[in-house]
Amino acid sequence: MSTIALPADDNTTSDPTRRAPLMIGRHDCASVTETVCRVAERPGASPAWYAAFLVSAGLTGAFFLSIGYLFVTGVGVWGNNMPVAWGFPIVNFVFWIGIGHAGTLISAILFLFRQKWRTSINRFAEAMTVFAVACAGIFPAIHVGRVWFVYWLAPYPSPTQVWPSFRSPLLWDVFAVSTYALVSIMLWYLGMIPDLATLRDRAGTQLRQFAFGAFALGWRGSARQWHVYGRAYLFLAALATPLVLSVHSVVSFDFAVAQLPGWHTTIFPPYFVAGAIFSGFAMVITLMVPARAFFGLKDLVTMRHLENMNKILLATSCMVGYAYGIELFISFRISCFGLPRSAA
Amino acid sequence: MIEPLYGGKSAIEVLATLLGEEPSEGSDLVRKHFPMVLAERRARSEPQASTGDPQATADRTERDTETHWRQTLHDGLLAQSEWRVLEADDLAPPEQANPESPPSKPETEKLEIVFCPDARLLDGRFANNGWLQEMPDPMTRLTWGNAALVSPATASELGVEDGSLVRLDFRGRAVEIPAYVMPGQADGSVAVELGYGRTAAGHVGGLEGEVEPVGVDVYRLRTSDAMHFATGLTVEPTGRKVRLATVQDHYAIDAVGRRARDQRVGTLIRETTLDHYREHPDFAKHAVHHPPLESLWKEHEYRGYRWGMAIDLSKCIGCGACVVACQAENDVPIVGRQRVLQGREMHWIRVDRYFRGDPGSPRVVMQPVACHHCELAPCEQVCPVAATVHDAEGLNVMVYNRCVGTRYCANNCPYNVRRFNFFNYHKKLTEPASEVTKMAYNPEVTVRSRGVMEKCTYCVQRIKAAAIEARNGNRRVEDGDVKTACQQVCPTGAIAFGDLADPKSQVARAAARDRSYAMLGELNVKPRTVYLARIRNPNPRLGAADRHGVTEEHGAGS
Repeated sequence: MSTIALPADDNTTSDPTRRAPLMIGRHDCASVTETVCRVAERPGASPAWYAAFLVSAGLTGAFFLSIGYLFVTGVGVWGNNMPVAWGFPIVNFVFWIGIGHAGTLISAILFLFRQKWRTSINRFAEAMTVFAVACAGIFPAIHVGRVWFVYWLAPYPSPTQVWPSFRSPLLWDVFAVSTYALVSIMLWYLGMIPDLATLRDRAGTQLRQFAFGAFALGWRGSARQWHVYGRAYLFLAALATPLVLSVHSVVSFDFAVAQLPGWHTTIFPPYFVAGAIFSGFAMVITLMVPARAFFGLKDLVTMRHLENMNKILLATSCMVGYAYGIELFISFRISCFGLPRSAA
Repeated sequence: MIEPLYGGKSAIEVLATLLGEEPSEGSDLVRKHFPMVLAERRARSEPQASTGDPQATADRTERDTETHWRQTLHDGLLAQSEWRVLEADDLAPPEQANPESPPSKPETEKLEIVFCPDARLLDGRFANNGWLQEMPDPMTRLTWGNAALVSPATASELGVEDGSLVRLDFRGRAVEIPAYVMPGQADGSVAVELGYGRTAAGHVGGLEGEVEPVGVDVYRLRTSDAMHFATGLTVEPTGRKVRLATVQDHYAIDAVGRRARDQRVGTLIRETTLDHYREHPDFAKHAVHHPPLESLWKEHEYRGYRWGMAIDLSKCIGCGACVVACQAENDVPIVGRQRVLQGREMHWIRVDRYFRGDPGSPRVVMQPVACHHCELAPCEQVCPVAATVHDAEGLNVMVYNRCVGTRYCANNCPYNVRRFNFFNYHKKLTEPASEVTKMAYNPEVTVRSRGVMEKCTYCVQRIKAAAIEARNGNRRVEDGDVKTACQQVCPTGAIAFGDLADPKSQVARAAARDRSYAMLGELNVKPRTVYLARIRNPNPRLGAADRHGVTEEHGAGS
């Protein structure tokens, strides 16, 4: 019991005698369903939404126009040169893949750890992952010199009988990222099935009923279906868990396996994974804070959620800070004391 | 020899037409004149006319003339038409220099200006040649423009740095030219290169109203009484900066960086004095300490030809002829000033130039660097589509039609010799006006499209041509059958290329020398190109300054 008076919506204090509330306010199943479904079922869109949509549509249009210009003119438009052969596109790729890791961590790892509070945020966090991976996947494809042949990176039986080179970390990337995309989409979609069914059952128009119904795959909510759902979700979560650590490690191999000084370091896999979780959680918080304000979800996505996210953010920021420090230290050591020499 | 382009006429044919003669081929005109040349020579040596039947004499003369003509054509010169050899007594003694007019003392207040012919454009006659405009100057490494070279001390006095636009005032005339801080330039002396700023050179060099002139015209400052150098120059910084299209030293480097670079250059370009070499003949092999080099997998055994190259740094003068020769042989594009500014020059071989020691009076070291065709090539391991592979003769083969353009190979090359076609640099070839330009391309070499990586191939087209001839003749390729373009044109013969499997070949003997070393060999890439360390022999009277900074045996030089 603290002596500080906390606001009513603050459920961040831990009372060892009681389980921390997962949501605040007076809620039962019906009101929770109402709060969540109302976001999708609100009639019409507000002018603010249209304004925001126009802005993003404009930026997306600019994106596609730029890609078109890139395809027609050539890879030189990225501004890289020799020796900086990769530049913005690969930086962006690594950035977005890293961001996606947070969603999978919340969906899969927190699920396996029985952190029930993650239920409020896992759907849009996983959605963020799916879109982040989609975003990331674009860049390795468009940064290559001859985009029309980028499918040669896929291991398919070609009439030329030439397979891609499995020694290359870029190819490991192809496998890691495509696996990650597939598993993320499956995890996201599987988790959504009962929710889509709820929306289907509450649907006002026939179009909505048909659309939600198609994706709900005939969910009836029977005990058997819930049981199967639980097992499937557990299985996918277990499958997705190692991906959180492996995907960005493989992406870091793009750099660590090369022999360039500064890239060829063993700290890169944990550094990248810590960085991924760090930036990914930051992205989830960036989405969470406006979402709970605009969509009235403050009861479901509470201060405790933000507090927990921030704790993870702090922990990973320390790891990334350490990695930065190590990089600086190694350069300093080499410049002051010379390259390490063998005893011989 | 090719047919005259666009049905053009040579100068002699035009002259004949102007003189009212029948239009005829140049060869006929010369043939018609030939008997007169012979008769004149005969008249000089045999003043008396020969006797006998005039008709028979005429016939015989006609046959002789025809034989003589064919012989002259075959030899390329008229026999016994050389200049008379003069004996030394024939020459008059040289005029004594007038002892009463010694060279004028330089005014201490003003600077000296020195006019130099450009290393590539000479006096400006080659300003329309793109290859030469893009060829980096051996010392300044500048392309597509000239600069005023000032010494570091003078530069700091004047307050100029690389790229500062300065105003050169000389005898009432002025030009604005970017400055370049040149280590080793004499203090108080500013050197400028001639041949730039042309307004009627052409579409490459500069055309008034159409194409921006390349560089700055310093002929404006040059007068007939000061053709080469003179004092009386003032240099004033204008405060503006111009970007210099350099292929090295892109950014200013601080003292810490310079020290680190000096350390590393000593391991890349290994050199020593003659005395030190005599004491430690294999100093070059021990310049870098590293753990024993082992490989993760079983290495390939090469049977058959083992192509390799040895570059003797003692012979290399850094002229850069190899750069242009490679460009000519392999259809390497020029990219223009803007792209060189972005660091996208396409030269397959480059000649690195480093200054070592005191910036005021440094030593210069040069090193030609092209693809080393490493046996354990880092580039091959990282290509996702296997577009760069190794052939059985040791060549690192770049497969243009498989390359997707991920550029991982370029990142992983420790020598940074891979070049990428960021744009379609040969786009002009598709235009109808390029019918003639296409003829400059080597038909034996693929012209690369955009999005494809390229690099030195050890002139694989020449290797294959020699191998085919050798196979047709049922023999092996002999030493000297294959000459790479860079080797062919090197004026000092610094580059040796051939079959390392043949112990008697030039390259095998060079590689077996105690002076030979592999640059960055400690990375265990096993390059096929080795360097022969440079041996200096400074005059002891030059003092300790020149001995400073040679590669020492243990660890990096100072």
